[in-house]
Amino acid sequence: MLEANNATNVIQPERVLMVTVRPRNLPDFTDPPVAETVLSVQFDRLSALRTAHFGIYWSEVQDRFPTTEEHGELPSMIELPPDQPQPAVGIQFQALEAPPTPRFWFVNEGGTELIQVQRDRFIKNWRKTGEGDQYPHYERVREGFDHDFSGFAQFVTRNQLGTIRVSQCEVTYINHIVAGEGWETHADISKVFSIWRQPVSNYPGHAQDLTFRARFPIFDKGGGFSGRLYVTLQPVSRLSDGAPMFLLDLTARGQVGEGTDFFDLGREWIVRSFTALTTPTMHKIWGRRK
Amino acid sequence: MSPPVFQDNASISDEERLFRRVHLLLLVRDDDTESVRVSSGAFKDKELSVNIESTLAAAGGSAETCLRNYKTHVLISITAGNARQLDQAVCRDPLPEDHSHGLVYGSKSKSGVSERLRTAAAWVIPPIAPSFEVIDSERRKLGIKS
Amino acid sequence: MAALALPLSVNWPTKALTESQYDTRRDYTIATSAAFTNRREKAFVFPSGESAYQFVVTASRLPSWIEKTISAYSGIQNLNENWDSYGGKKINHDLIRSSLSILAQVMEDSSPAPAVVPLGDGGLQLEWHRKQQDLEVVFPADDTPQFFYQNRSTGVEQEGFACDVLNLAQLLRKIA
Repeated sequence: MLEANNATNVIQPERVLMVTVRPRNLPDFTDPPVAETVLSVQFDRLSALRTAHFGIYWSEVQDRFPTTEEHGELPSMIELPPDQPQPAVGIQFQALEAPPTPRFWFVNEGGTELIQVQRDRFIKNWRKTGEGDQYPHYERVREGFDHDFSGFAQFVTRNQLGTIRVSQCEVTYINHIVAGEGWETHADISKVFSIWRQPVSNYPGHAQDLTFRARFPIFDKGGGFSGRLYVTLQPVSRLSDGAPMFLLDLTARGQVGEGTDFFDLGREWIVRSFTALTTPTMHKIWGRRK
Repeated sequence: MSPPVFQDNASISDEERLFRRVHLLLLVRDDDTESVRVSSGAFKDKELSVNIESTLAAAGGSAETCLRNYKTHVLISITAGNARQLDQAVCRDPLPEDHSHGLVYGSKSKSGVSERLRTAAAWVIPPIAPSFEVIDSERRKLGIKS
Repeated sequence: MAALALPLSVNWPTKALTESQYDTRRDYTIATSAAFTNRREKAFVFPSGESAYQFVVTASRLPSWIEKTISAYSGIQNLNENWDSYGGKKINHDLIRSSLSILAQVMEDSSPAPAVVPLGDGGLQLEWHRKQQDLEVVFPADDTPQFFYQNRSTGVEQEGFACDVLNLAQLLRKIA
């Protein structure tokens, strides 16, 4: 875990500490349907960080991430408590003629790992390499993130580009639940998800599929608001073979304490929520151990 | 090269008036009194430039001298004692073009230092706080948006 | 006319590596004739004098504080070096953006417009002085944005980081 300064969430880049420990009673699966995981940190914008600096940073990671792409910047996002009114306006200060500030991608050779950087964000994505592959558990994913984010923080310090002050963290698990085990068509919603029961009357009858979006406030151990869990469910078709698939995204975004402490809380909320939202039948298929 | 550190100069008495120009954009409206107040933003510089009144007077200058050619500014004053009470050093820093130049030196980012300097400040030119309408009108004449 | 409920502002996250593996196209047309209850957001563009910048406000309708605030920002975003006669720097545009972002999060429809004050280091400050209270949100060039609050009648003072938008919004409600 990266250690942050007490007062202001300032990351001390050289102090990478021990890897996080898995909570003892957290549900565990040997073969969960996780296809992609994302860890993301948002920090106060580094005004001194220019496009050229991203090139210099890439040269430091190019041996592991040889491919680069440019994309549009992601907007900054801060989770507000439920009683806080949502912003009714968006205000942008735009240059009439200026190149947009890009978000840079640095991709590894197999296309299984990705670093995304922009002036106020550092993101690391992983995906499963193939159907038979094991899901890289959170502890290993977190270790990899800490290593690369620490490297980025050191790059920022070495080049006097400012101070990284973390304002928000984000954990995402993307699940590909493919038909064939436990369910066959998108109408088999209630075989996969515990949150849906098909209507018993003729009206409206059985749903042929379900799309679902929900947000849940996240509370820390002390009961204080810390962030929000976003859950989206979408019926899709797998391109490789046309198989029906449920796409279940769970993203936890928020901040607790200093630095990247929220990652552990967010991951716990995601795992417990995933378990609660899906059926025991599917848990067995996914090899639930705890 | 490390930044300079300025020492307090005891030859500047606590009662000494220190003049500071304030741009019209640093004057804000107090909705309670409907008059103008100086923003604490006018007192945030670590090396806060001022003109030392007695030095100015010795050279034949006055408060009006500070505002010569500065149509977009008003003039306020604090005393050296006001600054020292807030752990600021008051020192002489004569410049070739401005012999009465001095500095109120010290961090002003904590514990409301700039706000306390603002509260202690007195109007010099104009002698009392104008109405916001007057300032707004001056800004418009000078093409400054408010 | 009854106020329409605003839709929730939702920040749905994005993913990258596995989007190419599935097809979301379904024969799933959604037909609606709803006309009076759809929120229509408009983009209001405010050119900033002769500068090469503009302000774009996205909202279903403009809150009362917008025009005055935008005008105040326009007044400072194009200042020259030495604008304050003491070597004052040009105002940092990133700080303009981050202060606007904070404002959008803490202001409500009925909030009073802030004074927008340039700082000599290239930063800026938002201020409110009313109801015997003072609230200042400082965006310095080389430090973390902070806020300072004082209630002149009770003597209560508070300070903290500007990213504490919940606290800031509560203080602004007291002043409104």
